[in-house]
Amino acid sequence: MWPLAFCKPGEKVVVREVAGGMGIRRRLESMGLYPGEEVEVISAQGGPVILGVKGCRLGIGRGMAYKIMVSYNGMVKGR
Amino acid sequence: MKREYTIALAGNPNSGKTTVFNALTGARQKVGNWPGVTVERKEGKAKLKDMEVTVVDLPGIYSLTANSIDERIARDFLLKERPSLVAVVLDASNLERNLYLPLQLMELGVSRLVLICNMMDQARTEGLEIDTEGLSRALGVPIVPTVANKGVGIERLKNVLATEVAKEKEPPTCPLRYGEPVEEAINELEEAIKKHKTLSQRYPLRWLALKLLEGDQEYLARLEEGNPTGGEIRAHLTMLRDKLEGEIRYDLETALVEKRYGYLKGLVRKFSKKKWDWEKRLSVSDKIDRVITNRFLGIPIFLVLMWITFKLTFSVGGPIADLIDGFFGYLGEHAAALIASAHGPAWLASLISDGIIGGVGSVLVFFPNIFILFLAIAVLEDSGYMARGAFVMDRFMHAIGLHGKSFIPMMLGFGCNIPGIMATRTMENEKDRLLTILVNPLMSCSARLPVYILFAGALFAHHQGTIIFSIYMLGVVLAIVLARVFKTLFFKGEPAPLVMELPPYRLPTWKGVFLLAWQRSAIFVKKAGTIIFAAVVLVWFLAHIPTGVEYASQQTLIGKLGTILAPIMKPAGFGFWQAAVALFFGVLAKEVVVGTLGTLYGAEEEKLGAVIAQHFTPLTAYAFMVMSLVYIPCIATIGVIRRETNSWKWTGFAVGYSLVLGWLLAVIIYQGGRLLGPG
Repeated sequence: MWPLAFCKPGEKVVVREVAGGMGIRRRLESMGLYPGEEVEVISAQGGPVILGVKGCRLGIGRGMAYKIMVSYNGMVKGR
Repeated sequence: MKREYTIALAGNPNSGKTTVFNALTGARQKVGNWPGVTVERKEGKAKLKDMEVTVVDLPGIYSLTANSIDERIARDFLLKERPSLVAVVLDASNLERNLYLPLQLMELGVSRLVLICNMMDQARTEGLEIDTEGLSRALGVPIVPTVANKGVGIERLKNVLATEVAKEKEPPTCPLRYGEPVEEAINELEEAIKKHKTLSQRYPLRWLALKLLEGDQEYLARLEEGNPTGGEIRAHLTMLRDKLEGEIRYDLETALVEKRYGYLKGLVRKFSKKKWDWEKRLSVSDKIDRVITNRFLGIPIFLVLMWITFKLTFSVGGPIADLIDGFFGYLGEHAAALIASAHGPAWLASLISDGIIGGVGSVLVFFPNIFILFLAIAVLEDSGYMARGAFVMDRFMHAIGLHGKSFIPMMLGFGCNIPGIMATRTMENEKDRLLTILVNPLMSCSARLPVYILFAGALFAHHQGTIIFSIYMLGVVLAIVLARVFKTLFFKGEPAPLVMELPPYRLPTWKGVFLLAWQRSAIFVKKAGTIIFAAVVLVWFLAHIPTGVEYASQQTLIGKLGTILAPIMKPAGFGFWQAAVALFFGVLAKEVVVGTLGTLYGAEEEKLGAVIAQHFTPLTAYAFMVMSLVYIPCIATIGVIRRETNSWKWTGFAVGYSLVLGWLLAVIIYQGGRLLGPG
């Protein structure tokens, strides 16, 4: 697992973990971003990331991009 | 039987709720291409068949969990006011995520629910074919396909709403089931919650059971509110959660969310067909984004856009403004002559030519500049750039203690600080929001533009653009510095993380952009006809009494008032009474600064600019412009600050710091300038 902030444009990754309080987790869930969901990295600038999630585009700020942990599909899912 | 029906329009941000609202009610509420355009609930009346219903347009929400003020407004309306019917507007291109909210509403047991599958044309161009009837049968809820901005499907929608709103019916049962172990736990918990009267009378048992299993803080907190069974239920809940998490082998909250989306994914797959590459529109948008949000290009591109906006405002607006100026000059002379020739009283001639035409006219002259400024802002809003700006500037905003989302309120502030401050409602963190409100008045709004154009035109004829641009930049720099200072002084702590939906770019439509710019500049014209008019007449009146003294002389009442105030401004170089009263009445609306000068100097032969050039030097004019920029938010802005901060303390602070800062800067500029060279 690694932070979303390290991803490269064009990569498809699966969200594994969202570090942060209940508030932000809920918010991301309602926008379609939750552990287990596969997302596409549209643009990444070594910090802020634009993600393709369920056909929408989400802009994720630098701070948040370090709190979302991802890995490639097929990699073993954590507990 | 006559009943008052209310229909609430809910849905994700940018799904077109306001467009549907406008189509239903004939209203012209503002729409735009960024999440968060609507931040308050708007009501309108719609005629459905033979009955009239109230339609309520709500701010966009993704779910029933609210994080910011605008979301709270929407959620509370749905949960507490219990509208007769909830119509959820869906973006047809993104059904999976857009259906998450109605699914929650069904679990909540909303009895009358209608789904509006909007922007069907967009979905079709993306090669998406949606079987709305099949989807409707599967969900057990009526679905109406629409293209609201073209009026397609609105008649049918009205009919469906009319039948549904009056129906007596049981809530639709939510077709989503969570599978064996979870359903068992839900049933068990429902039994336990039954005893909890305060909660179980308000909400359906299944909803409560789900919220508790998810660990929703709000419901957990209410569990123990004055109810003896609360502790018992909590213990039961903990036991169930542990058991379930042991069985499914990861956390329950995520499991429930996955189940919901899994269900929706299945539905969408079953009832929509992709005929061709449906991401085509997005791929163009993505390509633009790779450039616009590029780490190195993002901020330069933003600055270029600002520069273009600025350039257009002056180079296109200027010549038209000159024409209008000439027209008012002509009008003033001839009106006075006409009244004199008709043997009208001299005071009437003076009121019309000096007061109204001289005062209001001197402000209205700037209509073209203001219209073009609003036009440029509307293009930015309509194209989808606004949300990108927030994203691009996030890092920078963080560095100065603001939040990425502060960008939108600040940009809107260039038009008018009131919508700017209102737009802060989308910010999740109260500290970020307060800080953004406090520095927003430093964004130079369109009302201050007349002051700059007048003064820069009069004294810096060859560098007008540069001078005005420097004033704008000064406002921005001050906002940055003060944000940093206030942050360390009052608002320590991490800003909320930035997560924002970026709507696809679209080519702004002429109609949309012109309508938006027109609506906003109409407010300016209306202001000219009301508050500016009233202020100018007041100034004119005060410049006439007591009778017997010369019009607009120092012996008049206004002259005396100005003489009292003038010494305060003496260190800034413009310590004469006309400047002092202009600033004094400018609190009513910043345009009144120009209006007052227009009225007071209206009696003189030359144009206002020429008169200004006699009374000011370039240095004092610059100090005066800076003072006008900073010195105090206008009355209407102060009112909005009070309402949005809900605190007299912060409102007083905003007024106080700007007064002190404005004065200090004006003094520093004047005194500094004098030291450096002849003023």
